[in-house]
Amino acid sequence: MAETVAALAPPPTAAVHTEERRHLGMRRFARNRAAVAGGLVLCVLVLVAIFADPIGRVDPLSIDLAAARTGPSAAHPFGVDRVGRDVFSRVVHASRVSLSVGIGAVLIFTSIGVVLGAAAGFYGGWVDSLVLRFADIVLAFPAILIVLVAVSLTGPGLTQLILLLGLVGWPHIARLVRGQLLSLRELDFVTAARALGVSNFRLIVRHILPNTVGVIVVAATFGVASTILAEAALSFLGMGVQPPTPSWGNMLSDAQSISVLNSLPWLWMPPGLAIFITILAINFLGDGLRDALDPRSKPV
Amino acid sequence: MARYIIRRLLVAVPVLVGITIINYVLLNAAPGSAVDSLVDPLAGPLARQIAEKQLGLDQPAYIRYLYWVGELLHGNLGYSYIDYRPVAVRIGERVLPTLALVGTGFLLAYVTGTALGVVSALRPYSRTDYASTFVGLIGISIPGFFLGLATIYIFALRIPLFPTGGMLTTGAPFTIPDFMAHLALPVAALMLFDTASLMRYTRASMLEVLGQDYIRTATSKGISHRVVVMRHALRNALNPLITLVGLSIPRLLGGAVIIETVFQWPGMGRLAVDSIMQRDYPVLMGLNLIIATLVIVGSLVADIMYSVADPRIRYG
Repeated sequence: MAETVAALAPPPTAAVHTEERRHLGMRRFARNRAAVAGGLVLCVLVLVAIFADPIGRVDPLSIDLAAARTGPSAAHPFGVDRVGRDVFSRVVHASRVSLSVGIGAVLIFTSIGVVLGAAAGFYGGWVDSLVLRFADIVLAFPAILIVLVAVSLTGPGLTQLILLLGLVGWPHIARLVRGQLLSLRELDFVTAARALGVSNFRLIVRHILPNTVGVIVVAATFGVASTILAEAALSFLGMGVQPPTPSWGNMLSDAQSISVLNSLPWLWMPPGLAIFITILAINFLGDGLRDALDPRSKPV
Repeated sequence: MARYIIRRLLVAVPVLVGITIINYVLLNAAPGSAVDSLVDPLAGPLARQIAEKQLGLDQPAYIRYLYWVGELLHGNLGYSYIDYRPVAVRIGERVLPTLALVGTGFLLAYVTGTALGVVSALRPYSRTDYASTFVGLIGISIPGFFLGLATIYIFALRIPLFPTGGMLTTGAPFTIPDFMAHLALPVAALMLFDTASLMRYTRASMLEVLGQDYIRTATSKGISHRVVVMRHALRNALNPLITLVGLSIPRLLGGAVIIETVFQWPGMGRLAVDSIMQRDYPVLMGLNLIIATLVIVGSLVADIMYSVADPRIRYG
């Protein structure tokens, strides 16, 4: 599929000066109020994660048995869970898990994807087939299953989760970068650079890849959203971040019991809404970035 | 075309073999063994040895893999470690519930998603468009398990319209209305994401097509707006959606892990989760093989349908 789409898409214009283009993109982005709002929400979220201790007020692991199962109050804005922990503090601290998984795993799979995709698209031939088949294999695994199995292999934990999600996420980026390189490498400026004796490595890194930054940034932004969702889903199934460490996903898994779902809604609504707002903000930001940096592409 | 299909199928064979090997290595490296859940932990080491021998776990891994492949070629997926029933039977009984759930969800999502996408593209930047774009963003942002829990909370607990989970009322005879009542909430929770993403996709694709020169040409020839939209624009805009249909084939069977868990739906996704928990590796190998095959077939079907719908695309 990647071949056909790449073949149909018009070649990216490299004629516009990068500098000019960047300003154009920034102006287009600033006009998109929803995207700016999404970006602001994410900034707030990062601050919450950094200053989780003062904001959460109490230790997310400290237990106040007397208050267990009580609803929202002045002392506990989001109520108290079944063993007596403050839900507000837990939701605030769990933002650290989501953000570190989202950012960490995306950094890993974007790097892998860019390197493999650039090599495949630039060199073609057997390098290309090898990368594509490898991507096929990774894609053909139901992602959640491979992570589930791998987690049982490495043991659950934050670092393992970041590495695993990082190792399975790259094929999408690799295909994208490969498609871009297939058309970019045919353009005149590449021939010109070659004629000047620029080495292949320098040609890819300094001349070609800068033209794909917009596309990569957009894909990575949506990647952060899907990675945070994957972490939450795994923790929800009990195979991600392990209690007592709070994660939005594992906080929701308590609600699988109908009695908790019914009578203690403050246990599962705040973390659920936290995931929802985070993902919504990232998607708004991603849409805005796409319109600004990569106007031709379609939503994923 | 025939040559292209044959070549793609031939390439698929090493990919499948690679997948089963990686699978096998991973499952073998995982700590714990099916023996743990079969043998009383208080029983002596002899009981464990007997159980291991019965399951063939005393053989080295590569021998077991070759044995598995040999049986596979004879159409035997092996036997569950947990209840000793054939893997094919255990998976087979889960196929229909999953197909009913995911199939219904997909069908509804495709119809409503494309319809909404076309409607917003026809009036871009109107109130309808902003509203459905906003709802679309919400739809792709809400996690399935949270949506599932919230729908159970609202429509089964606060307003008891639907059952909280399961596929049929336990003990009651099978009736269509009972089945439909159980199906309603999980389908709703499942289809929101697909409806939203299809809507976004259709809208973008339709807007792109409506800006093309041939649409202006058709309009300037005096063809009515309706005909231009339905005949000229829609057909071209929906081409990329065909690819999406092919690519979502594997999800028909494997894609509802979370929703099936939340709603206690007896489908393949839950079978996978349960098998991982119980370390029932033969069942997991079978499931992964089936899903991997569907991924490969699905992407091939997508490419073929794409070239049928758009004759400009040729495969050599």
